[in-house]
Parts: sequence; structure tokens; C-alpha cells
Amino acid sequence: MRPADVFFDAITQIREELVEEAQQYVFRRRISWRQYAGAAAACLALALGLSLLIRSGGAGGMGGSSGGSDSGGGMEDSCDIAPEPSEPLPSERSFTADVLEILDGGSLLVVPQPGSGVWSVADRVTVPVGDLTELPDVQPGDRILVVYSGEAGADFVEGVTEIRLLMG
Amino acid sequence: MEDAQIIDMYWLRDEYAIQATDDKYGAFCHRIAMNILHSFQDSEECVSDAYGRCWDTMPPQRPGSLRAYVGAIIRNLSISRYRASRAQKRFGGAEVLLSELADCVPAPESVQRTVEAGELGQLISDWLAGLDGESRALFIRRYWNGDAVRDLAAELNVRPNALTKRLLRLREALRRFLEKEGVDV
Repeated sequence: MRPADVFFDAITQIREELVEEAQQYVFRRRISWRQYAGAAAACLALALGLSLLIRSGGAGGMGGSSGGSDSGGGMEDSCDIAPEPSEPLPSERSFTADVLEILDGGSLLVVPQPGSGVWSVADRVTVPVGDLTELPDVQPGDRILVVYSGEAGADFVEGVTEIRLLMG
Repeated sequence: MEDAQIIDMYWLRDEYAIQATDDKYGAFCHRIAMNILHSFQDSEECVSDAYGRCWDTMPPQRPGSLRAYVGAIIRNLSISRYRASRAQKRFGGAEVLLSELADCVPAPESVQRTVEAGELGQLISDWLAGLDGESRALFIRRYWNGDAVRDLAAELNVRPNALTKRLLRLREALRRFLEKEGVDV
């Protein structure tokens, strides 16, 4: 038997708790320099856009012969363009996540998937599931879809209506 | 269903234990067998045989982790099937894993004693226990599960080449550890 075969057999006999821990481990995703650069470019573009917007509004106010009324009009214009905060659409009120831990008291500690919803930057989110009538057999390491109707903060979500097991 | 409940069913000779094992760990078992054999049909047969082996060995066995237990059975059955197919010159997916593991073999001049797979497994466990969680999970997911480098790289959001280098450093660290322990395989 080749030494590599012996290694294969030896690795099969690695202690159970180490194997189990590895199956449940959730890797922290690296952010590459390209993503950093993309985010920085987007911020720069946004800052430049806002700067131009404010300048055009200010110039209208100072340059017009009718004085204050023009200035007011310019401000109104800029307010019209500004996006209004809107309620998230129903389809946005869900996100996918990996279950990290099942907490005492009926909650799950999960790691949201990047780009899966409002938690694109959150590290850990506590999901209360104690009020759910139906809950799949969720285990640490499973990928789930969390559907909710309540408020959402930096590390919590309220009004969870459904947990769907995506990948066990 | 909890592992303990499934194991209790094996002990009570309840045949639903096999169905429950398949429901909970079927996909996991198929993935491990596929990673080694690269053949759907062979993997299917290995998984079926593994459930039979679970039925035969529980009782007396009562594993702490059913996933690790059935996974180890799958690995044993899959590598046996792979070795048989290699003897018949059939292609098998484990060759890449085995060639990488050759990097872990200690240099001959450092050898003081020869160890069997069981003892070597304990030494590797000790070495793994001293690593950080991510490195430990990476090593086990690559060499115990047989997960592909590109899949692990995607999970970490790094380039496969970068992960390959990291895995090489881990294998070299294991080789140095074993040389320090003065073992041969």
C-alpha cells in the first residue's frame, strides 16, 4: 500500500468531533481588492454626483435676477430629485442564511449570505423562531430562507413568518 | 430528527432508522462517495452498503456523531471500491487526493518508528486540534470530505490558486509535525 493510501485511511479515522465541527464550520468570505475597488468607485461616483447636484442647485439661487424666489426654486428642484425612502417590497422581506447555532429560548443564530437582502454586510443575525407553528428540522450548517414581516435591525429581525430549509 | 433518536432506532432494530439516516445525511453521503469515485452508480452502491454497515454495527456501536460515523464508513467503502477499480485500470477520482496526500509523507531520515493508520489518525487529529478553526475545517473538508478546491475557494471567495497554495502549506506543516514526532508510514 502506498504511503498516501495509509494517509487516506488515517484521515478517515480523524476524531469524530473534529469532523463534525468541520461540517458545521461557516467560512468567512474574503472581500477581494476588486470588490473594495468597486465599492470605492461607486462611493466616489455617488459623492461626485451629489456634489454636482448641490452645486447646480446653489448656482441657480445665486445667479438668477429674481433672487430669493429662484433660490427657493432651486432647492425645491433638488428635493424633487432626491429619492424618497420607501418600504421594502414583500419580495425583499426575506434573506438566505447559514445556520450557525441553535440558541436557547427559540432563536437561531445565522450568518446571512452576501447580497441576500438587507443584511449584505451583517455578520451575525438572531432569528426568533419560537412563535412559528411549523419549523423544519434545522441543524447548524444548514442553509435556510428566512421570511419575515416585521422590523429588521443590524443584528436582529422581528416577525419571522416562515423558515424554509434550502440545503441541509 | 436528532442523531441520538436515529441511533436509538438502530439499537431497537427499527428499520426506519435507515430511512431516517438517508433523509438526514443521504446527500452528504452521496457527495463524499462521488468525490472519491466520480461515478454515480458506484456512489449509489456505496451509500446503500454503508447503510447496511450501519445496521450491522449499531449495536454495539453508539457514535457521538452519526454524520462522522456514516461518513467514515462511506470513505472506507469508497476507497476500497476505488482501489479495486484501480487494479482493473479504471479511472477514479481519489487519485488527485492521494497525490496531494503524498506531500504529507515524512522524509526517510527523520523516521524513528512506523505507525499504522489508526495511530496516524490520532496524530493527525492532535495536529488538527492545534490549528485555527478555519484551517482545520479546510483540511477536513478537502481531505476527509474530498470537496473540490474550486468549491471551497468559492465558499471562501478566494481564487483556487490561492487556496491550493494554502492547502500545500497545511500539508507541509503536517509533514513537519510528523517528522518532529519521528513517525513513518
